[in-house]
Amino acid sequence: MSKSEIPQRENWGSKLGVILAVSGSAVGLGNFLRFPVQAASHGGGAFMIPYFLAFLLLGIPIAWVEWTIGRYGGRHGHGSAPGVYHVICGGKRWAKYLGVLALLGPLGLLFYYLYVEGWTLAYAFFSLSGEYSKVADPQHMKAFLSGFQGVETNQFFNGPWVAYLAFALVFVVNFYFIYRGVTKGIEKLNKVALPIMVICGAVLLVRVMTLGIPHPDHPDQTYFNGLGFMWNPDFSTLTDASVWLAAAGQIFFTLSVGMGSIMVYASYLKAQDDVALSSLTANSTNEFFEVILGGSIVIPASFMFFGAVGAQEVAQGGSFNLGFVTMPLIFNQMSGGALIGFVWFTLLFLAGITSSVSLIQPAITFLEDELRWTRQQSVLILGSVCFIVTNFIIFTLARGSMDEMDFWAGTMAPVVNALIEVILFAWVFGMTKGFREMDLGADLKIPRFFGFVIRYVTPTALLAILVAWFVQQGVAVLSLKGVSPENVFTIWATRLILVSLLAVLILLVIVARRRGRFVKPEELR
Amino acid sequence: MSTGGWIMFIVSWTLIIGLVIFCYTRIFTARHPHMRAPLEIDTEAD
Repeated sequence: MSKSEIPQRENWGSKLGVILAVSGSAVGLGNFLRFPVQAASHGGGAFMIPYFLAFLLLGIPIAWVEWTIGRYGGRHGHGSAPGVYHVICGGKRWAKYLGVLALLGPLGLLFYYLYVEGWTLAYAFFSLSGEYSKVADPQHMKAFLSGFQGVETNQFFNGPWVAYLAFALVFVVNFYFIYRGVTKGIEKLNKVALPIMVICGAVLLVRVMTLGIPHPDHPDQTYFNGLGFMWNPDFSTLTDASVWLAAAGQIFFTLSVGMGSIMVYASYLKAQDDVALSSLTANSTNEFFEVILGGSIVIPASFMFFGAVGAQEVAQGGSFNLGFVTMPLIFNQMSGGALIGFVWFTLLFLAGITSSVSLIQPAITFLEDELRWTRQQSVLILGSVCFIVTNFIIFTLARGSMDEMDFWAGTMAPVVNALIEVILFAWVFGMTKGFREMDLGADLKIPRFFGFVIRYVTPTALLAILVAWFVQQGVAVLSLKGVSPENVFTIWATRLILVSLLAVLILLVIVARRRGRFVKPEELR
Repeated sequence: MSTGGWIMFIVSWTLIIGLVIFCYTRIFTARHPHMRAPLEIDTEAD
């Protein structure tokens, strides 16, 4: 039997580098915008009970699994899900095709994420230039955002051209870091961005805490009453299944598990590098940004300026509304608001770029590892595809293409992919071998109780999320119930793009197989 | 903020900050048995 050579792959420059890269991948716009909205609208402080349980039983175990199989795959010359699933399943023919979903998810997200990332960059400049400083009420600030996005033409903008320019800039910067590689690009970016994000978060927190009473005629609108609006527990909500689902969904979303990015990053570890402590450290860093910073800035600030009723409306208005409508209005009313606005949007931009590079890398790793394309070829081809599809999203934004892409790529694919990887790890790779692999070079001994969790609890919880979704919304979503007729064509076009992409990815896996890239692990040397 | 709010707030902050301190302390103080300290490496040629 002839043995195949394992190709030389890049490695992270330092342990802290990979931890910061995974943390940067996880810390995104959702930490500052989605979490506070979810907590405030699902029982306040009581939300933290299902949230921490989901962190313990879903987030931490799935992250350990992803780090472990990623490093294992990297040792065998595979960094992306098709190759990693192939080796952890001992070369079974079907395994590699399951990995395609872990490539589709991040790509689908990427197609609109770069555009949104561009908004944060543009708004950072708007803050300094005073572009939105004269806008005084929510209605006009919403119009400012809609005009900027190109959803409507109004007194503020006559097309999405500023947003487009910001997208183009962000696009080039992202692919530049990817082109530079794992160590010189992604690691360096995160080593600079994460500390700046901590400083930005601290500046915002201190500024909001020291605002005093912004409206003297409303002396009850203080910071601590704002914190109370966010944290006062309503334990009766714990009997509502949707609160538990929201908490599980938030943990899933925030830790970036099931996206395939953690696995890809871990594949660039050395064989003896720790995964147990590094994974937990990356998770804890993400939770610091989410609970400590995310839970203490936007909702209390909204309460201080708009009162309980206004803050309630803000919480119900969604994440984009909070970030791009409510927060600019707040900055307009505070002294030094232009600078604080700049700090806020810089924080969002850095949170965005550290996440978006992690959405690009899985496909790049797949092209490099399985098709043996050079970095230049991979960046050029993927960049072209990304550019074309993002243009479709930009010009059909008002027709719901972004929401549709987000639903399938950002909400559905990660849950299904996490279920696949946990089942493959616990039931095909096996927990005995799994723990041996987790313990290799470990700086932390993972409690064996997690063997039971990974084998039974995590897959059951993931299945419950999927079943609950299907029962509550499945038929309505699939049949486009409630979608206005003028949006139907765009939504089907978006679905067609995703299905076509899935077909292309399956085809590329077949090409890689025919080129002999998926040899059995025992045939490697 | 109500007493319940303060309790949930303080418990959440304590858990997260405790976890962050635990993890980073272990990261910066971890010993790697597979790495040899310089004095253990025999550099003298026979």
